[in-house]
Amino acid sequence: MKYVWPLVKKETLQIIRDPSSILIAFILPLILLLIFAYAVNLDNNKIRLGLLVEGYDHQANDIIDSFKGTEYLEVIRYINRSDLQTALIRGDIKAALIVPNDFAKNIGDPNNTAHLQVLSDASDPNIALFISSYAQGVLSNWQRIFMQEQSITGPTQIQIEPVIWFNPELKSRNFILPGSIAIIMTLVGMILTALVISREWERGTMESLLTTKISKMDFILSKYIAYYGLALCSTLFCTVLCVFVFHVPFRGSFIVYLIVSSLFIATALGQGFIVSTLAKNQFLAAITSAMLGFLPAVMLSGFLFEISSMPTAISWITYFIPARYFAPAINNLFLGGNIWSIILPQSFFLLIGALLLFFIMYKITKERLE
Amino acid sequence: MFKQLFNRLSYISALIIKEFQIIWSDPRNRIMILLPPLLQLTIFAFTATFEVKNISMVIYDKDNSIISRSLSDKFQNTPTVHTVYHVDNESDFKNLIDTQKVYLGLTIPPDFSRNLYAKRPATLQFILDGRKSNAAQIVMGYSTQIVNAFQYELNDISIPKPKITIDIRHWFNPNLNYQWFIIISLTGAIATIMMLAITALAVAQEKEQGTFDQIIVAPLSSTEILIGKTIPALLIALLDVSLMIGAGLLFFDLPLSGSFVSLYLSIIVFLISIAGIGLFISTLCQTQQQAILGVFAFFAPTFLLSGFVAPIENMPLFLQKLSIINPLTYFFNLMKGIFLKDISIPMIWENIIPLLIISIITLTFAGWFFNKRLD
Amino acid sequence: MIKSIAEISHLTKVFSLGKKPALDDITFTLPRGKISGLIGPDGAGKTTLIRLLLGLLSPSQGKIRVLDLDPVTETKDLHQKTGYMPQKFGLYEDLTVLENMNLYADLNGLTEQEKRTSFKQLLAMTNLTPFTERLAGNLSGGMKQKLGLVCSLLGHPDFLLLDEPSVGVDPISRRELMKLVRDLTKSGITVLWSTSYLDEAEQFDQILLLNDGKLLFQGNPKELTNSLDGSVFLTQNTHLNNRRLLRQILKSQKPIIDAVIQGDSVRVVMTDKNLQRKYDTFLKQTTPRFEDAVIKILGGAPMHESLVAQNISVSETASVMIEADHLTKRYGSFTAANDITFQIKRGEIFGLLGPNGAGKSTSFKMMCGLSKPTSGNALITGIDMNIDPTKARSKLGYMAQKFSLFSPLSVLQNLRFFAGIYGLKGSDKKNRIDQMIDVFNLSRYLGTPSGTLPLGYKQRLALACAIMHNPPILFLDEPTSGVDPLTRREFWNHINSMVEKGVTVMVTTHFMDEAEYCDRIALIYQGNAIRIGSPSQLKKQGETMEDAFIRLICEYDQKHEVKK
Repeated sequence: MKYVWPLVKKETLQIIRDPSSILIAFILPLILLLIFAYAVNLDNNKIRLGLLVEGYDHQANDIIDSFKGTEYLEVIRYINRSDLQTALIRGDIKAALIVPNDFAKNIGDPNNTAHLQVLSDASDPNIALFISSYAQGVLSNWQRIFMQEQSITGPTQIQIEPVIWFNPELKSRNFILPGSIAIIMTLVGMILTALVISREWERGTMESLLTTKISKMDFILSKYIAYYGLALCSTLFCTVLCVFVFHVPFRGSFIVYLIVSSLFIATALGQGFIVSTLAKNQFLAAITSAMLGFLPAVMLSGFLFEISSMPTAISWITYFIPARYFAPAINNLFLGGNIWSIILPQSFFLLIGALLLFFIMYKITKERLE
Repeated sequence: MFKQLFNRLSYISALIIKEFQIIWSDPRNRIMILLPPLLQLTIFAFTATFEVKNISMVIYDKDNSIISRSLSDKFQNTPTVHTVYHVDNESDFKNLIDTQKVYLGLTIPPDFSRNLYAKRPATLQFILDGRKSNAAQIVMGYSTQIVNAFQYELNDISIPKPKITIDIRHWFNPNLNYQWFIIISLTGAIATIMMLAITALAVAQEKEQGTFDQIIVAPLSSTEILIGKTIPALLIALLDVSLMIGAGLLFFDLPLSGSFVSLYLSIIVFLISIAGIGLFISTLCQTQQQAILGVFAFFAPTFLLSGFVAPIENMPLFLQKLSIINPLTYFFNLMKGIFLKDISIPMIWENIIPLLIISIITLTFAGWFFNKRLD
Repeated sequence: MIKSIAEISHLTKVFSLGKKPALDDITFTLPRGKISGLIGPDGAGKTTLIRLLLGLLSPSQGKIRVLDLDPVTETKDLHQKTGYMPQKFGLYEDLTVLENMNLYADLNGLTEQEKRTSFKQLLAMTNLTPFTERLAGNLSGGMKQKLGLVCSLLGHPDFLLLDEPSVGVDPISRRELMKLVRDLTKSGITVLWSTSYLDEAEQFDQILLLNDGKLLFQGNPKELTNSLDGSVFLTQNTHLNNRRLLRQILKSQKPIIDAVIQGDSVRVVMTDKNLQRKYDTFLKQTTPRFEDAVIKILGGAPMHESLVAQNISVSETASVMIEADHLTKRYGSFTAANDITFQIKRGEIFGLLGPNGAGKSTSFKMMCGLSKPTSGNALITGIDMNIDPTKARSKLGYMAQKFSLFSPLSVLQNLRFFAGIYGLKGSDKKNRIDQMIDVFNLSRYLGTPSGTLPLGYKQRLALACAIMHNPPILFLDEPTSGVDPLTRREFWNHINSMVEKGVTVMVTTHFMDEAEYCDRIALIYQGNAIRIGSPSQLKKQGETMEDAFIRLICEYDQKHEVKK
């Protein structure tokens, strides 16, 4: 094992000399983090809503006002149905609210029901879902207030007091940024390492190393240690940006954070090393990293899309995605604090994953040339 | 003139055939061309939904009256709610939320029913988990509706109620079928990455192996070489796109409201614009490693900014402006338009023309750099 | 103390079942304290043998003992006592000279004290002391190899294995390297040196000649060479063109082992010493070379005539086919090629000769349109490469260094591809491809991916692809590097026969004997064409091409130092 350190020194020098590794470890995360911070915003604000009032009514107006009065929507008025429809088809507006001709007539008639129409562009179902639940909410609130005003005897009044723990302003950025670290580090870890092993073989340096006194363990450990150092710097860089630039609260223990990140980095590096050892050409290494690294981390880590909402068979697959364990752990360390009953099991699974990948790496690394 | 053109076509076809033979010669490449679409359809098509289903919640009923129990039942009987835990102390309550066993906690205060009978305001406290702010908001929406409905039922029937309903119609996708949205989005993602990988990496690979010199020395113009690289990538990406679309139409009931012609016209123009970018990256790179970096540096932001992960409307204005040069934005407009909205021909052109402009600019740059690279 | 450092008996290595063995039933011993040369063409099994000796591969059959150890079971013990320099520069190009040395010193377990003394001694020995802070990737080929040697010596090995240490190294550095290693053996180190340069092998204490996995000869190279005393001749006083003469000799059915062009004459090796009398008038006896002996062991040079030129006709009538007109190429402040001017006439073989990085390939690339000159013009049959590149390129055939073919494609697919991009169509295309298959004997490999072809066949295929469209001009970049001497002779037979039909050839080479095939040579050094002339004009009396090369470069250096 005494030959690990000279090898680590060598790897480190190589990393420092190679501008692309610095690019991957710091510039790529910076760009991605900025994108996640600004572009991946799940707080729906300023969704364009078309408004068409065919029949005026003061009660309808109340409801319209509650649509207008929100920061979530930008209301654009239309004067005829065909313009409104065209706008919806073109995607100029994502939804429309229509007060039909007979609204005023129907609302005065106790035997009839007055209808408001909401149209949504469901080609993006997420926005459609938001609009429909928002509209329902507006109506039910209006109804409640209406009742309270109408009642002579004094109505029953249930007040809802929402209390939000961990993230009182409900900023989506606060949970997206920690989770995005899991995705960014999956990508960075894999790209950093995906070419590292094959490069030693291609350039013939592996053959030189094989005839020195080093063991297979020395070789693998030195790769892990050097790239662990780089990846950890990269993670810390992301963390610093999150905390100091984007003001995401950090409530957990820093030591625990280091340990959990380290375990996750080990899994990401392990995946990269294995791809690098197995994929003989770089085209394959690239596609594999994208298809088995980046996309599953985005889709299956449970940070953007709830795992509990997935079909059972697919939720099983998520157990093979290291980001699935890291995302909740890091999310809690930022927003929740040291919640051991979450962090410990996730760390345990990460540890198992890291060891398993290390073992596979050890098995597939060859000591001879055949 | 025509004969000369025909003559040049035979040069290009030699390039194209070679490209296919190389890609096809390695069985691992074949797998990588066919596997991603399958993988995406079988796994990802079911995952990407912001819907929150199977909600679990905890209720701490300090009142324990008929009214409070009926409110509990109301939650229990809501289909989106999967599990309701009942606790009788503060620490169990807190623990369930802390450990993310539940999305939502409801505390019913001891004076809840008393206040209601006395017509005094009664307060319900909902605890939401801000670590999942998006889910929390959606769950809060559900809860408000449940409580409002509950209150509505409680109230005196003698009060005249304005009977207003909101009819919600989801246009283009009445059942909010998420798979349609995802198939369309992933088709774009996979087509992009395939196209980029084949154009950018294949050129870098030839440079590394020295075969690119052979092609340059042959009597071919740079335009012909670029066409020879574009068409094979285009056909392979078309194969992947067709597989995914085909599966969408066959297994996921994806409707095709527009015409096949406009569909494929849009796809091809989109792919050419990506090819331009891939070739442009390839002219800047000497090694495959650099090409890989270039591909990821382009793909990751493009994908995240395309409106798939989060709606473009939510982005800050300068990023929304940036989507003007994002080919994926136009592609998604076209795909959604042609599949779901049956958009008119002028609307198709409105999106195809920007793609054409992007193609022309990137291809010109690629060609220009390609010639300049000889220095 | 055992006398031999390695004992190998009945060693066979098969890589995959059913395939021809890479090494076939080999038995030999290596004497201690000597330089043993392992020679043979690429693919003969040299590297495989070295890897087996080091335990990097395990033998399929037979026994290996190295330093009285079993390389497979006692690998790590063996590595304590061996030094190894692999074929591909096994050092980190992105580390400095000193960092590379430190790494290998640490991996060999040297103490700081030991490091200091070894470094000082080795750096002084190799003259690398001024370059310790330079990145290994920025060293010249010769310096890289010296550094590789230093690193493999750091563990104080008893046994040093060098796999083709002189590839890509210019003649001056090659001589230095040889001297260094020779000095090492005086301190008791045993060396195994593999090479495909036969002139180098002549200086070893003993040689092992491998061909096609079989050990053809083991013994002293001098004795072997001397055995040919009296049967090697140079033609003289003939008014015949040397190429035509060579063709006649090859056709003559005389008892001849080998015949090659050497400047103005043809070098002939006879089977029998006494035959000379018959041809006394025009054959003059000369001293045999090691290569002559090797050709004899390999069974003699191919004597059949090349069919490649059968259907060739050059319609170009211009007398100057290729012209470099004050070609200059600058990268920033660095001038890679400076004001290079030459003209190549129809039917001439013109060689660009020079050390690595001297501007030889820059000039070559500008001529075939792979690089744009900063100033000056490259003209192909009078057409400016910059003005109408497509037309100019249609006149030339190009064979790239290392025969860059599309390795995943089969032989036939490669042929079809090159026919396609050179505009051949229909029956014309089919006939031409069939002809190439016929001439180059490719029929049994048609479906084989070109990447897995034996090197000689790769070269044949590369030539076939380059001449498919009947080009009047042929550009060859290091066309025979690494191939065995027989294949090289066959290759030049093809080229010669085409040249006789009027094809013009421009070639870069670092093989000195290959330079002898050229009608004229431009010696490129430090970006300048320092001499242009025929091989005999460049050589002084009794000099080999290599001697002349070294002398001219030294003269140039001296002249320019005086100026400074």
